[in-house]
Amino acid sequence: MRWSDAEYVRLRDELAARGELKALNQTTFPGCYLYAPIQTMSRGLNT
Amino acid sequence: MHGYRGAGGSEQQLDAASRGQEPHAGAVSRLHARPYAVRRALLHGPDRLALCPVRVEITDSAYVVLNMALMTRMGRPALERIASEEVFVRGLHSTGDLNPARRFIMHFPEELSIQSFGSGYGGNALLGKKCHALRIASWQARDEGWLAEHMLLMGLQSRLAKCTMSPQPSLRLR
Repeated sequence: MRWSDAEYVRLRDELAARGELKALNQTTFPGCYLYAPIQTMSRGLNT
Repeated sequence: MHGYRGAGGSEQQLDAASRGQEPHAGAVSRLHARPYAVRRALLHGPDRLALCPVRVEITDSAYVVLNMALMTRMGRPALERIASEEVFVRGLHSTGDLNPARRFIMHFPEELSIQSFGSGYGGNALLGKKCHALRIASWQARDEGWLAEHMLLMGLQSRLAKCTMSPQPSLRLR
Protein backbone atom coordinates (compact mmCIF):
# COMPACT_ATOMS: atom_id res chain seq x y z
CA MET A 1 0.00 0.00 0.00
CA ARG A 2 2.93 2.36 0.62
CA TRP A 3 4.00 4.46 -2.35
CA SER A 4 7.31 2.89 -3.30
CA ASP A 5 10.30 4.16 -5.25
CA ALA A 6 9.77 1.32 -7.70
CA GLU A 7 6.20 2.42 -8.36
CA TYR A 8 7.37 5.97 -8.81
CA VAL A 9 10.11 5.02 -11.28
CA ARG A 10 7.72 2.80 -13.21
CA LEU A 11 5.25 5.63 -13.66
CA ARG A 12 7.97 8.13 -14.57
CA ASP A 13 9.47 5.79 -17.17
CA GLU A 14 6.02 5.08 -18.57
CA LEU A 15 5.40 8.78 -19.16
CA ALA A 16 8.86 9.17 -20.71
CA ALA A 17 8.27 6.20 -23.02
CA ARG A 18 5.12 7.69 -24.48
CA GLY A 19 6.68 11.16 -24.79
CA GLU A 20 4.74 12.90 -22.07
CA LEU A 21 8.00 13.48 -20.22
CA LYS A 22 11.13 14.45 -22.13
CA ALA A 23 14.45 13.84 -20.41
CA LEU A 24 16.93 16.71 -20.44
CA ASN A 25 20.65 16.10 -20.77
CA GLN A 26 21.07 13.72 -17.86
CA THR A 27 24.75 14.59 -17.52
CA THR A 28 24.06 18.28 -17.08
CA PHE A 29 20.62 18.00 -15.48
CA PRO A 30 20.37 14.59 -13.83
CA GLY A 31 16.82 13.58 -13.01
CA CYS A 32 15.31 16.54 -14.87
CA TYR A 33 12.42 16.27 -17.33
CA LEU A 34 10.17 18.56 -19.31
CA TYR A 35 6.46 17.93 -19.31
CA ALA A 36 4.98 17.77 -22.82
CA PRO A 37 1.32 16.74 -22.79
CA ILE A 38 1.10 16.49 -26.58
CA GLN A 39 -2.31 14.88 -26.96
CA THR A 40 -3.91 16.90 -24.21
CA MET A 41 -2.64 20.19 -25.61
CA SER A 42 -3.88 19.46 -29.11
CA ARG A 43 -7.29 18.54 -27.74
CA GLY A 44 -7.41 21.86 -25.92
CA LEU A 45 -6.47 23.87 -28.99
CA ASN A 46 -9.08 22.17 -31.11
CA THR A 47 -11.98 23.07 -28.86
CA MET B 1 -21.63 36.37 -8.45
CA HIS B 2 -18.75 36.86 -10.87
CA GLY B 3 -15.44 38.34 -9.83
CA TYR B 4 -12.15 39.04 -11.52
CA ARG B 5 -10.67 35.69 -10.61
CA GLY B 6 -13.68 33.49 -10.41
CA ALA B 7 -17.31 33.09 -9.68
CA GLY B 8 -19.36 32.08 -6.74
CA GLY B 9 -22.55 30.12 -6.96
CA SER B 10 -25.33 28.89 -4.81
CA GLU B 11 -25.06 25.44 -3.35
CA GLN B 12 -27.78 24.32 -5.75
CA GLN B 13 -25.84 25.60 -8.78
CA LEU B 14 -22.61 23.98 -7.68
CA ASP B 15 -24.38 20.79 -6.82
CA ALA B 16 -26.04 20.67 -10.25
CA ALA B 17 -22.73 21.32 -11.99
CA SER B 18 -20.99 18.59 -10.09
CA ARG B 19 -23.76 16.03 -10.45
CA GLY B 20 -23.87 15.97 -14.23
CA GLN B 21 -26.31 18.68 -15.26
CA GLU B 22 -23.65 20.93 -16.77
CA PRO B 23 -21.50 20.41 -19.90
CA HIS B 24 -18.35 19.57 -17.98
CA ALA B 25 -19.98 16.53 -16.48
CA GLY B 26 -18.51 14.43 -19.28
CA ALA B 27 -15.15 14.94 -17.67
CA VAL B 28 -16.27 12.83 -14.74
CA SER B 29 -17.23 9.94 -17.00
CA ARG B 30 -13.89 10.06 -18.79
CA LEU B 31 -12.12 10.09 -15.46
CA HIS B 32 -13.34 6.60 -14.70
CA ALA B 33 -12.81 5.35 -18.25
CA ARG B 34 -9.21 6.42 -18.66
CA PRO B 35 -6.52 4.02 -17.54
CA TYR B 36 -4.57 6.49 -15.44
CA ALA B 37 -7.20 7.33 -12.90
CA VAL B 38 -5.23 7.20 -9.69
CA ARG B 39 -6.41 7.36 -6.11
CA ARG B 40 -3.86 8.22 -3.46
CA ALA B 41 -3.95 9.20 0.16
CA LEU B 42 -1.40 11.85 0.98
CA LEU B 43 0.04 13.76 3.89
CA HIS B 44 1.34 17.30 3.62
CA GLY B 45 3.94 16.95 6.34
CA PRO B 46 5.35 14.58 8.94
CA ASP B 47 2.75 11.97 9.84
CA ARG B 48 3.03 12.63 13.59
CA LEU B 49 2.43 16.36 13.24
CA ALA B 50 -1.06 17.29 14.40
CA LEU B 51 -1.36 20.16 11.94
CA CYS B 52 -0.36 17.99 9.00
CA PRO B 53 -3.52 17.71 6.91
CA VAL B 54 -4.57 14.52 5.16
CA ARG B 55 -6.11 14.35 1.72
CA VAL B 56 -7.23 11.81 -0.84
CA GLU B 57 -7.00 12.84 -4.46
CA ILE B 58 -8.44 11.07 -7.47
CA THR B 59 -6.99 12.22 -10.79
CA ASP B 60 -6.79 11.05 -14.38
CA SER B 61 -3.30 12.50 -14.80
CA ALA B 62 -0.25 10.36 -14.09
CA TYR B 63 1.83 13.53 -14.16
CA VAL B 64 -0.18 14.89 -11.26
CA VAL B 65 0.57 11.72 -9.33
CA LEU B 66 4.31 12.11 -9.93
CA ASN B 67 4.24 15.69 -8.71
CA MET B 68 2.20 14.88 -5.63
CA ALA B 69 4.66 12.11 -4.83
CA LEU B 70 7.40 14.74 -4.73
CA MET B 71 5.48 17.09 -2.49
CA THR B 72 3.70 14.81 -0.05
CA ARG B 73 3.97 11.57 1.87
CA MET B 74 1.82 9.03 0.11
CA GLY B 75 0.49 5.72 1.26
CA ARG B 76 0.14 3.93 4.57
CA PRO B 77 0.94 6.81 7.00
CA ALA B 78 -1.83 8.86 5.43
CA LEU B 79 -4.28 5.96 5.49
CA GLU B 80 -3.52 5.35 9.16
CA ARG B 81 -4.27 8.98 9.95
CA ILE B 82 -7.57 8.73 8.13
CA ALA B 83 -8.44 5.56 10.00
CA SER B 84 -7.70 7.12 13.38
CA GLU B 85 -9.11 10.62 12.84
CA GLU B 86 -11.74 10.06 10.15
CA VAL B 87 -11.16 13.61 8.89
CA PHE B 88 -9.58 14.26 5.52
CA VAL B 89 -10.01 16.45 2.47
CA ARG B 90 -11.46 14.83 -0.65
CA GLY B 91 -10.06 15.94 -4.01
CA LEU B 92 -11.35 15.02 -7.47
CA HIS B 93 -9.47 16.19 -10.57
CA SER B 94 -9.82 15.63 -14.30
CA THR B 95 -7.98 17.50 -17.04
CA GLY B 96 -10.97 16.96 -19.35
CA ASP B 97 -10.63 18.68 -22.73
CA LEU B 98 -9.06 21.87 -21.32
CA ASN B 99 -11.88 23.98 -22.69
CA PRO B 100 -12.08 27.16 -20.57
CA ALA B 101 -15.85 27.20 -21.06
CA ARG B 102 -16.04 23.87 -19.26
CA ARG B 103 -13.49 24.61 -16.54
CA PHE B 104 -14.80 24.25 -13.03
CA ILE B 105 -12.63 24.62 -9.93
CA MET B 106 -15.03 24.12 -7.06
CA HIS B 107 -14.43 24.24 -3.35
CA PHE B 108 -16.83 22.88 -0.75
CA PRO B 109 -15.32 23.88 2.59
CA GLU B 110 -18.23 22.59 4.64
CA GLU B 111 -17.62 19.13 3.18
CA LEU B 112 -13.82 19.51 3.04
CA SER B 113 -13.91 18.62 -0.63
CA ILE B 114 -12.54 19.97 -3.92
CA GLN B 115 -13.61 19.24 -7.48
CA SER B 116 -11.47 20.44 -10.38
CA PHE B 117 -12.33 19.85 -14.05
CA GLY B 118 -10.82 21.12 -17.29
CA SER B 119 -7.43 22.37 -16.15
CA GLY B 120 -3.91 21.00 -15.99
CA TYR B 121 -2.49 24.07 -14.32
CA GLY B 122 -0.65 23.19 -11.13
CA GLY B 123 -2.85 25.19 -8.82
CA ASN B 124 -5.94 23.52 -10.25
CA ALA B 125 -4.55 20.01 -10.64
CA LEU B 126 -2.23 19.53 -7.66
CA LEU B 127 -5.07 20.03 -5.24
CA GLY B 128 -2.84 20.21 -2.19
CA LYS B 129 -1.51 23.59 -3.24
CA LYS B 130 -3.90 26.50 -3.66
CA CYS B 131 -7.11 24.51 -3.39
CA HIS B 132 -6.33 22.78 -0.12
CA ALA B 133 -3.36 24.52 1.55
CA LEU B 134 -4.75 27.99 0.92
CA ARG B 135 -8.51 27.91 0.44
CA ILE B 136 -9.83 24.90 2.33
CA ALA B 137 -7.15 25.36 5.01
CA SER B 138 -8.23 28.97 5.53
CA TRP B 139 -11.69 27.70 6.37
CA GLN B 140 -10.31 25.05 8.70
CA ALA B 141 -7.97 27.58 10.32
CA ARG B 142 -10.79 29.97 11.06
CA ASP B 143 -12.78 27.23 12.76
CA GLU B 144 -9.84 25.78 14.66
CA GLY B 145 -8.03 28.98 15.65
CA TRP B 146 -4.88 28.93 13.58
CA LEU B 147 -3.65 30.77 10.50
CA ALA B 148 -3.22 29.36 7.01
CA GLU B 149 -0.63 31.06 4.82
CA HIS B 150 0.44 30.28 1.28
CA MET B 151 4.10 30.77 0.37
CA LEU B 152 6.56 30.12 -2.44
CA LEU B 153 10.07 28.99 -1.57
CA MET B 154 12.38 31.03 -3.79
CA GLY B 155 15.72 29.89 -2.48
CA LEU B 156 17.75 28.61 0.42
CA GLN B 157 20.51 30.52 2.16
CA SER B 158 23.21 28.81 4.14
CA ARG B 159 25.00 30.24 7.17
CA LEU B 160 27.75 31.28 4.76
CA ALA B 161 25.20 33.48 3.00
CA LYS B 162 25.39 31.50 -0.21
CA CYS B 163 21.97 31.54 -1.82
CA THR B 164 20.80 28.64 -3.94
CA MET B 165 17.74 29.25 -6.06
CA SER B 166 15.19 26.50 -6.32
CA PRO B 167 14.92 25.00 -9.83
CA GLN B 168 11.73 26.13 -11.57
CA PRO B 169 12.11 25.71 -15.37
CA SER B 170 11.86 21.95 -15.40
CA LEU B 171 10.61 19.14 -13.28
CA ARG B 172 13.33 17.41 -11.34
CA LEU B 173 12.33 13.85 -10.59
CA ARG B 174 14.26 11.65 -8.26
